[in-house]
Amino acid sequence: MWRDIPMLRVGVPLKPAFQDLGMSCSWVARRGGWLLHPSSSSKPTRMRAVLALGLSLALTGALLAMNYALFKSNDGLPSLGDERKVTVTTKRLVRNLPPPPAAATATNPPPFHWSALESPDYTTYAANLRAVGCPERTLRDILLPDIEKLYAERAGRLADGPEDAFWETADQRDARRRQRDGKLRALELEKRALIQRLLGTELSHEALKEIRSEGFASAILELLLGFAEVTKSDHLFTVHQLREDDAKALLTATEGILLDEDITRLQALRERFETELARGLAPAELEELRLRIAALEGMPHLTRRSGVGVSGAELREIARLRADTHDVLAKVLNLDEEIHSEETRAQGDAAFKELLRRFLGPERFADAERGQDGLFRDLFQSTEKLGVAKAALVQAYEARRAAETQAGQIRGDQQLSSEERAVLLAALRAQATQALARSLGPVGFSAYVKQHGQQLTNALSLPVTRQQTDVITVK
Amino acid sequence: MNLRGSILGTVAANLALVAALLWQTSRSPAPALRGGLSIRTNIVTEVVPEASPRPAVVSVPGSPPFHWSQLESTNPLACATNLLAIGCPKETARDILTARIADDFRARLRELMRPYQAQFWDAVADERLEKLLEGTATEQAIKELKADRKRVFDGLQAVLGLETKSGKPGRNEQLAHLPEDKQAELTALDRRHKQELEAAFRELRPLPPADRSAPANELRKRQAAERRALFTDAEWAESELRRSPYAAKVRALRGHAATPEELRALARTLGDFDAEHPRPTARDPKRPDDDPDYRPKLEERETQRKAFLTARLGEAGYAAFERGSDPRFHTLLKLARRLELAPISAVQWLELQTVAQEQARQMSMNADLAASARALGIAAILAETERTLQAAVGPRGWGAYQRHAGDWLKQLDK
Repeated sequence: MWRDIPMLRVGVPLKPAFQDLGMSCSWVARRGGWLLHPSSSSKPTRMRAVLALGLSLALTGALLAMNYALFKSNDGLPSLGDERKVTVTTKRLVRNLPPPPAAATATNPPPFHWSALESPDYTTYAANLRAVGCPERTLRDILLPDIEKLYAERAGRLADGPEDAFWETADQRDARRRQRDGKLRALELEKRALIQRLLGTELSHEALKEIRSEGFASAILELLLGFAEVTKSDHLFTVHQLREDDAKALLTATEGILLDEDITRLQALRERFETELARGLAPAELEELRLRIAALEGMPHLTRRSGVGVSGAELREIARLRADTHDVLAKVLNLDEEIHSEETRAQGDAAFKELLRRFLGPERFADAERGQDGLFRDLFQSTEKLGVAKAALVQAYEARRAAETQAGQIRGDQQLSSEERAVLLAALRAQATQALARSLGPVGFSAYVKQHGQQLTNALSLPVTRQQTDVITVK
Repeated sequence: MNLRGSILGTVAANLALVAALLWQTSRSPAPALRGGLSIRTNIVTEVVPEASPRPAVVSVPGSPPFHWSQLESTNPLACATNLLAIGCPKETARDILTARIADDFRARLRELMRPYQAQFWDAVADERLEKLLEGTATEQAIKELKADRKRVFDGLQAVLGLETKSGKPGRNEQLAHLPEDKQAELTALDRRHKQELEAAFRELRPLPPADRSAPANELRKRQAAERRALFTDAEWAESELRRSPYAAKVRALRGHAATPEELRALARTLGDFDAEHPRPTARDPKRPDDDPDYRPKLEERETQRKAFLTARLGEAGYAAFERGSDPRFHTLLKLARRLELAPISAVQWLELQTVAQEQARQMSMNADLAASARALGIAAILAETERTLQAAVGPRGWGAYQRHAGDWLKQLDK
């Protein structure tokens, strides 16, 4: 700093001045100081001495002025020019956490290694991962498989029974299985609680694994579930997997014998399933899910390929009628038959049928009724591109259905001998063939026989018998 | 004062002034701050009484401290390499990255399918849901996407290796009486025999059927001999017993408490009877009803069997054996267990059913009664049986009885 004041560059301006004063002024660097050696005086020297004294006095004056100026510029005097004063207040947040362990304050820390994150305690492992900024989704993908493997190992150890358990009755084996199932269930619940505690939500590794499997990642499935975001599909699958597992565990524990109290528990499980779905899906999405399940689960006959002319929008409405009369969510948990009596289910079927009749009107309802019959679907699908009139198709179907009924009567008639039955059935086949050909026309009949001729022959014949040669013959 | 003294005096004064000048410059402030701006910084330390969301306090090692983002990369292989570089186990890296790749694939697939969402219901109505994409650019895009996924997975596999499937081989109960090393030897032998047979059949396939059977039989015979040689006589006898239908029969028993020795003895007893009393055969095995002698022979053999087994097991033992093979009893036993009742309850319920069914059978065959009287009689048997059974099973189990074991009640008056 001081070097910036030009007049104070030590030595340089002073050295010639002292030489001019007739003094031998030698720099003795080795001593680090100034040494003056005055020379002898004389008359001309006196003149020079007077000059030197003048110069020295002038220098004294200059040094006095500089000292004064410097003194003024220091804090004792006001500063030069306008000065802006800015005060910055910096707030440093300090978390009130325990002091870090000694290792963390090491002066020369080692490079980071994964082992610094791992811990036999999952809570610590999760905390370590979070502390280094591991995203929650990745954390889930690390912890879930790890936990799954741990519990699979524990379950594997449970599965071991006695060395030789061959000579046991079914009761004894079942008792052992029940005991093991109980322990496995306890392990499963322990695992779920751990996952809930670590990740804050119920998750199923099995469900996620299934969703991510190559076979599952199909365009059809994405289309089916595409009404909701991917994360919602994950939620849907997870909830389904967990509740289905719960249902299976409950049914296993009952040994297939459902007491009234078991049915109440299964109903509660089904309600929980719906509540949890509703928690992850918007109401409209949950409704769409119900309709899609209803459409794909219980209405294969209500499509254009079954001879029923319905549009996509109409089918959606029909699906709504079905979902309103059937417990589709119980069906996807495979609990429909367990929690709803046969009578209740029959009432649901009847109600749907009536609502469908009103929705479609009498003619299309009749189509829908026929569409349920595989015989009609065969006729329709084998001739649908050949321009066969609907009336002709219906006529052919009625002939085919009547022949089927008569064949059943002939086969069941105990008064007839085998030979008589064979003769009557042959006549019936010929008659039915003629009726079908007449109704469908040569092209339609040919197409039908090409696809279903063997089936027609078998249906109107005596039942097949299995010979020792394993060759199936039709009498 | 002479001139020389004056000069020395001024020089001394100059030196003193220079010293004063140096002293002043050393204590003056920095020139930068002497301009138009002066900044004053107050540092306030605020202690946040933060409740930690996580129970554990973590110190992050490394210099500077490690952060997960250092591992991240849009390239899964780079990410895998980064994970392995910090010592992440291959298994964990595989878990992270396979999930990530699969999720990414699903998201891209969902995006490709989004335009088709509006066609969902029409496609279902037309039963063309599975053919919706046929011949479209989307179909091709999905194929490429799948190939891409496979490529990425293969690359990942090359870095991280294959997932190892853990799990022990299933235990073969029929061989559980053998020492472990012999079991392993037999398992290996059976595997080798299977491979030999497959190879032999591949070679024999071009031959006419008549020429195939001899070499195939020869091979089977040789294999059987080789297998037999591994057993001692006692081991072989036990193995044969375990493979017999008698072992299957006793293993299916319920409500029949027995030790392994007793069950083995029972299986031998069943085998002994069959050896002594071969099952009769009809003249035409396909039409046994056409042989008038067949059914009486069967009934006679059944009587002999009962006598034989009763002699060996005693009355109670035979009854328990018969009951233990009855599927109706199996259901009732389970119901009793669910109701925390002793197995004897199931025996009583079965007796009530057997008696009622026999009474109803006799009533329906009673030619002395009119049809209406027979129907009335059966209805009375039904009402009485239901009342008795309901009392025996109790209110907690009656619904379950009707659902799982009560179909016979519905059939009784039909």
